[in-house]
Amino acid sequence: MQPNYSNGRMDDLIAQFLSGNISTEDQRALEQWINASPDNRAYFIALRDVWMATATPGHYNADAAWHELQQINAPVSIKRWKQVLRMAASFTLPFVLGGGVVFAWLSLKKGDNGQGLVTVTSPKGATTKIELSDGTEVWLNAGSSLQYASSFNSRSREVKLEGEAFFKVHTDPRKPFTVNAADLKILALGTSFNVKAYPEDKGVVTTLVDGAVRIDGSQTASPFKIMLKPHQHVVYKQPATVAGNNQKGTTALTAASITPVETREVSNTEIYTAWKDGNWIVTSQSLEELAITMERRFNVNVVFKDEALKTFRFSGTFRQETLEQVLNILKLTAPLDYKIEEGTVTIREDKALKEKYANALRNSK
Amino acid sequence: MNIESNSEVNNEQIPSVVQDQHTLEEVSLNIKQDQRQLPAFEGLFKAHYAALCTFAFDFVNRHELAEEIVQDTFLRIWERYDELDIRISAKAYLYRAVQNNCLNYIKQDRIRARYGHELLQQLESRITLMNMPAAPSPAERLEHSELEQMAEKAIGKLPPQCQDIFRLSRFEQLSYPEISRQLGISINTVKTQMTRALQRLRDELLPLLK
Repeated sequence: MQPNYSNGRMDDLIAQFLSGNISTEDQRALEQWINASPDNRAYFIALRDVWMATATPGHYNADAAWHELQQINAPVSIKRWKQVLRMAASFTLPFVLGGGVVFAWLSLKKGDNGQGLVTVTSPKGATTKIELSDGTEVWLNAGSSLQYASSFNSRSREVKLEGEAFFKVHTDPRKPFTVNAADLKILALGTSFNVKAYPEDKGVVTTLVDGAVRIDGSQTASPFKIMLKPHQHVVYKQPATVAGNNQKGTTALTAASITPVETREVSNTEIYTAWKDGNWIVTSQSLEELAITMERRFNVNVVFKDEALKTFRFSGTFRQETLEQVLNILKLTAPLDYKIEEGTVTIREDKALKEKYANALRNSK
Repeated sequence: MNIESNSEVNNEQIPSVVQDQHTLEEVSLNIKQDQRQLPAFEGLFKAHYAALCTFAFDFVNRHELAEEIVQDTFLRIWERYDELDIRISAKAYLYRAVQNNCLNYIKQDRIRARYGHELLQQLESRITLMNMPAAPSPAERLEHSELEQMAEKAIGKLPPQCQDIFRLSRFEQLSYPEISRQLGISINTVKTQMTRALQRLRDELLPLLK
């Protein structure tokens, strides 16, 4: 016995420990006392064993636990079972609102410890809101996907984006939040920002609403690093030619001399983030650019019958309009006509309308 | 397959004779035949799940974690059925496997990520303390189905208030403050009565545990 503890205090602490009513400090003190002498240790073990001997099966529902595992699929093979159990036991799946699809892939290799990837995909025609396990909110635009490892938030917070997303990052100074988009790394600490990186865009557009982010372009053809201030907007274009690391040097990298990054102040960041609330703000965009957004937003293909139409420019805001409504609004200001059949929108020049607009223009002069 | 509950009297003194209804041999045979229903495995799971979760709870003090550990243990058994040593009863094996899995399970990063540093330390220290070897081990002792009745008898001998407090803590897992509210007594009374209950149970049960 140690002189500085009365036996009564230790008895209390042991009872508190066994019944789970002990503070961290008291548990430390108890542990020290137990390790102080073989007698103390034997004294504790006797009480512990008595405590464990009084166990009776508690309120656990074996049927429910089994059923839960069965629900996904009857265990057809060992692999399936492993997946089902691992899923049940280990995944903090994101909380998803909207049309998103979550696909969790799990490595089944032995010794891989169930390392897996979670992919959330927002299909074309839908915006998806996700809440990650660290409290970060992500709005995923149509036709985009977000991917992260099952170890997300254990040591670091890293996600990979393909497409467009708006992030409202939960502050955690010890674990910066990193978005990998194309060949850029975007580092954030408690910020709201928008990243647009659809593969067909051949680049990344980052718009910062508030807070601070750092863009790390050290993996690109012409390395750079930029700190962004709120209301700044960075457009990075991937070089069209990528130099292979062949020693012959046949591919000359022409893009390297021109820095591929352009920073701009934007007074109204909402233009870039409105999509997350279902709005679509158009600021002097060509019909060709609008068509790409339409394809994503409404899950259609857009075909131009007349090339000339592509260069018409528009401004305005769409909210919850349907595809027809959008096209009809465009029709009000441009000489176009359209047909929608089986997911394809065909846009052609409307000769009669064009004539009318031309007359109107002449008369107004 | 008819799944009986786990109430059959198990008279084994030395764990060498297999008396359990669902032997691991039966389980592995089933798996080898690649049956879709796996009745033996399901039977094994259901027969022991609640008792094993209770057992794991003593180590980790969290219901959710206890259930995860038990499920994960079954998963491991499933994966390694062909290497299993089936000379002991399935029940004995399961208790041992769950006990060993407690510490391994919370060593995984994805589990550690859930708890703060302090909490994790306390959890690890608890598992270590609950794991300290005794002869015979708690897991081995729990195989004796008579022990449950003996323990119940000993609890029944406690003075009424002391008994209520012990039962609320041990079987309902209420905290000291919760018990004090429930019974309208001070937390200090709960504390002293819990200590007393444990001392008395030790005097009653310890001779039987040797």
